[in-house]
Amino acid sequence: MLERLTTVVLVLVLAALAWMAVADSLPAPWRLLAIEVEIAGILGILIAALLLVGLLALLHSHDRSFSASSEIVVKDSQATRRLCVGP
Amino acid sequence: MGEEIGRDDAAPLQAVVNEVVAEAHLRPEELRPEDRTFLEQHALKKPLRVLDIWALGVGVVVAGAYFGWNLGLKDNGPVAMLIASLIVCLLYLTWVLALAELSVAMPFAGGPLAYGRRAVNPLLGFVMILGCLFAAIGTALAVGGYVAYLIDPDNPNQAVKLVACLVTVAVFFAFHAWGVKEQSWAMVLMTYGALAGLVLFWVVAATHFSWERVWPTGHLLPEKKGWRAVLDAVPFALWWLVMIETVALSAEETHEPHRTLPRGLTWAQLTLIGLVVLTWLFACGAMDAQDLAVTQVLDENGEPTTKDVDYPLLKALAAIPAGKSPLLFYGFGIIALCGLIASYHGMLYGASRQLFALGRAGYLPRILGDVHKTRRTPLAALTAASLIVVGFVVANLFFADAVAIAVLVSTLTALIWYVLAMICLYLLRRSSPELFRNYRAPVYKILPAFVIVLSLFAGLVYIGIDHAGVVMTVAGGLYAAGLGYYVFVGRHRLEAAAPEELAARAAMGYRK
Repeated sequence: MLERLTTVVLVLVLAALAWMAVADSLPAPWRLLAIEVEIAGILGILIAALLLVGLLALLHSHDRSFSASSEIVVKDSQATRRLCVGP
Repeated sequence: MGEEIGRDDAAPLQAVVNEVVAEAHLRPEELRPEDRTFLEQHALKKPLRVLDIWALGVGVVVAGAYFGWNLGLKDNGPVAMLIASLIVCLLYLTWVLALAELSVAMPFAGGPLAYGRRAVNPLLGFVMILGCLFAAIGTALAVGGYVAYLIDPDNPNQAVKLVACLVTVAVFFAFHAWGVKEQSWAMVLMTYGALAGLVLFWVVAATHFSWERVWPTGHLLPEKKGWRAVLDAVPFALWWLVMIETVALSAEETHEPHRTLPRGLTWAQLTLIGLVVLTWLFACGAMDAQDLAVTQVLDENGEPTTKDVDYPLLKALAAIPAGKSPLLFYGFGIIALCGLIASYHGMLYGASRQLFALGRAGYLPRILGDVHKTRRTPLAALTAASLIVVGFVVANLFFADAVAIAVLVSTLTALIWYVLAMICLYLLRRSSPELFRNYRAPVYKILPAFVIVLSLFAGLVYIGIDHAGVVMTVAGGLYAAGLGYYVFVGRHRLEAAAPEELAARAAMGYRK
């Protein structure tokens, strides 16, 4: 759920960047919102994206499923170490 | 160097070699004796833990909070700079997560070399690590110059600058040659010092804070520029965070990289985002944004003109009533030096590990791949990296714009290697999914694509900057020189037993 929400927000960030790149060359009637509202909207999207990606990053770096598979590598590594170094 | 291994060192060395072999996704018993001997002679220690990785990540970048970013405020204003900074923060947060995935999959000193080598071929690996190397050298040069400036800000004559840079290079060469754990300990201390300097600045700046300066009523973006102001601020906003990827080069010296790297990198990046936002907030709140970027001076004809501000935090402090105390002003200057030196320290680490990896793999002269027989530090690569920095410092005596161009070339080549690295990540996920069983980045399907789009967006902005022609020519010339060297010399001398090469051969069937 959190990943899907983050994906949506990241897509919105890309849309905001595209808007920034073209907005100034668009005809005036196309600018439906005041520049202050556009700025607040884009800042909101960027902050939401940073918070969501940051939260997911922290969760992922402590994710049990990945830690479990990591144990295999650690155990492999310790086993080979014991094999070579001796008791 | 490295040929004779004492009996006491042999057992832990064997363990390190076995870990490197396992990280190349080979079984230790498969390894040919001559390949094992090569790895024993070129093995690094693995002492780095989460705190070390965090300190390396924060320390290598923290100089960006002290200078450089403020030029983005010029004619753009604080709000445009904030939006540009948040875009860059998001680029780097997603980039380090994707990079963590790659560096856990192939935790070798020549990180980009290994990714490009295994994903496509040795040429791509070489091109990728070249981009990373230019970035390290360029940033080290800029930091070296600033150290000299801080030592003598009123009279930054060339002799003082040269001596300050040479002393810095010599001292940190000695630190790095001493041992990786020792240099990491110094890095942790300097990073704490750099953070203390920023906290001191925030506290003093808060005494003179005004929301009106941060969020001006009327036009939030300059009326003439509109959203263009945000795009113009992006190249300077990159300076906040560029080079955090140096941390990926520490993977081979990291204890349990599959745990340590993602945690260390994530915490470092989140810390840096906090530093970016708070430093922007308090600097722009304490002083008018335009004054943080430029100073009014008179030219040779007595006409008023502007000069870029090289030391924005010091200038803001000097303008605040609470910051007028000489003790506070010079105390902050000395603490700020920690941040700048910490960044040079990290740059030297990154540049030396890249030269070491290129030498060990045979792309550059093999002597660069040698390590000290007991300390296991890459002495020859450290010497070469230090001498390159000295060469650039001397060149700067004759070419005044050398630092500015080196910084712009370094950030541009950094963006190129971000794009190439993400393409490699997609290719490797498809061809070798087993590499990524230990760590996978969040939102992994679109994350690399997001990094590519943001990097291209930031790269395209370079077309409109000052020195654009020179920067593109220098960057193109450096790549051409590197490619020429690879085609005529490097590709004939590749070392099959280097870990980056072993990882690629493991994918093709090791014995073939």
